Amino acid sequence: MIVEILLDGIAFGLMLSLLGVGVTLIFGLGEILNLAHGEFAVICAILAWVLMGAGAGTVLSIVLSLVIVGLIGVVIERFLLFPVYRAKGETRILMGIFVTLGLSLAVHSYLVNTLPTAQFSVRLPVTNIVVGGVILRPSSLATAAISVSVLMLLAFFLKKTYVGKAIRTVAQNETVAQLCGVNPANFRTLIFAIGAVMAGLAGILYGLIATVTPSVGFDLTIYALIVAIVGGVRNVYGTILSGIILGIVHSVSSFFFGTYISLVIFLVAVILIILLRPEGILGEKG
Amino acid sequence: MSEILSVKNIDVFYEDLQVLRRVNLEVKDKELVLVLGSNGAGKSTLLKTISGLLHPTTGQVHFLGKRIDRLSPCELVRLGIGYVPTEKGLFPLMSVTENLEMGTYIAKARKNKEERLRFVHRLFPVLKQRRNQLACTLSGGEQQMLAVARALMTSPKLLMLDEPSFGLAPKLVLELFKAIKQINLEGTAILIVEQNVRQTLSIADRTYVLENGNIILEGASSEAAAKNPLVKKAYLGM
Repeated sequence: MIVEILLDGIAFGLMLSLLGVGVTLIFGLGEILNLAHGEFAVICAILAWVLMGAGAGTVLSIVLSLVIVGLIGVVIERFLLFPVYRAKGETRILMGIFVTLGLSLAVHSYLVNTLPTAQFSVRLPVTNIVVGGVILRPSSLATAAISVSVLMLLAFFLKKTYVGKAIRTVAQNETVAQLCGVNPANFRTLIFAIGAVMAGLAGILYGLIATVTPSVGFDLTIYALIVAIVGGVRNVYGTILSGIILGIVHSVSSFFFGTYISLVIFLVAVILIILLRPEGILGEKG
Repeated sequence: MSEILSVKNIDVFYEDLQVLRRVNLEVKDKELVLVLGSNGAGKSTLLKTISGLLHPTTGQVHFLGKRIDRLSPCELVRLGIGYVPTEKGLFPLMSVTENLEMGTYIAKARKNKEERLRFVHRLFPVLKQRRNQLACTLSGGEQQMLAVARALMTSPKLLMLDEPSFGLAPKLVLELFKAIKQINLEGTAILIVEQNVRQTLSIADRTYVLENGNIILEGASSEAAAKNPLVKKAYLGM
């Protein structure tokens, strides 16, 4: 029984990691705390629901909606966040919060009003797999496998490719990055689009274990922010780790104490981690 | 020798504060030029302006015959301007090798990567020993060497150094300046701004003195600069 709960927790946690990593990368490159991050998950899932309703196949709908959410990310970054980047320091952080909060409210109200009945969920055409008496839910297995692959791909991209390294240089020292010939604006756009697609994928995966409705965007944003901050807001690996840890906390506590109390326990765990390590699990001091 | 960099009558502001006033300066091919000035004289501002991080409100900057004062740093590195800012000239969470690799981000430099890497390893052998270490774990002197090496990897025609001796022990300063002279002898023009006068005067071809945003001594040979009463009094303590 405990193995099943752990697996569900890890799967949920990896989905949170997918969400949180985007927040971490976007903040690391542009110092914008994206308060609309969860909305990208919702946009993607609802888009897939619309496409499926229009008769497209499940896989095609999902792939298309991931591509579209990436393009939406590019447009939003270029036109909405462009003025924010002209501000520096604290002003930029505040402006980023206002702009993305506004965006989040706009998307939320638009979707809730125009598509109140939308609900995205995918049931895998596979029955539970039983290994040695342990029931493995295919939805959890698929979520975990897809998340791990995507996160590994991301790590490889950041670590080994010139473009990925250029992204890290912008996060570490923007001035010197420019002096190497890296244009930070292009990489901010790229990373925002990558973040939007990963959030979109998290939205799709959320549809495997729950139902995504137009109103869950806020909750997902909060989860993404918590995971990113607990991980140490500039550290991708910390964010992944914190996602997994918090996912396990969430599923173990929901099993033993029910969903309502589990949220309390989840938040208590967050507070404890931040009290013990204010800089985040893998964040740097100072 | 033809001039590769010419700065003509530039005014530069930080917000509302004027930092440079009608500054003129030129660097000829293969020359090592020194700009002396005390804190707040506008030395760093001058280099930031040439490298494209700041833009002059009036005046012009030309590099290799091309007007550059409206270009961005990422365009200027492609034209051949390398710049090492004071401290923090590197990527702290990347290894020494990765730092050097990012110096070859532009296509032009990537072609010469191996040759450039050998060049900087010859100049600073310690960087080869430390190649897998994170940049933030290096000592102050090694970090400064890495910052210079990073800029050299871009194959610059003009290398600009902002107070390379800042915070270094005298012995390291000597070593670093020897390397800088070596870089210059191998054909790269260098523009260096410093407060550390004795060592730099001895390696520089020409010297400018910058005070409160004005050039008060223009392009004198270093012997002449060393004899100048103003330099003597203010910078050599004589």
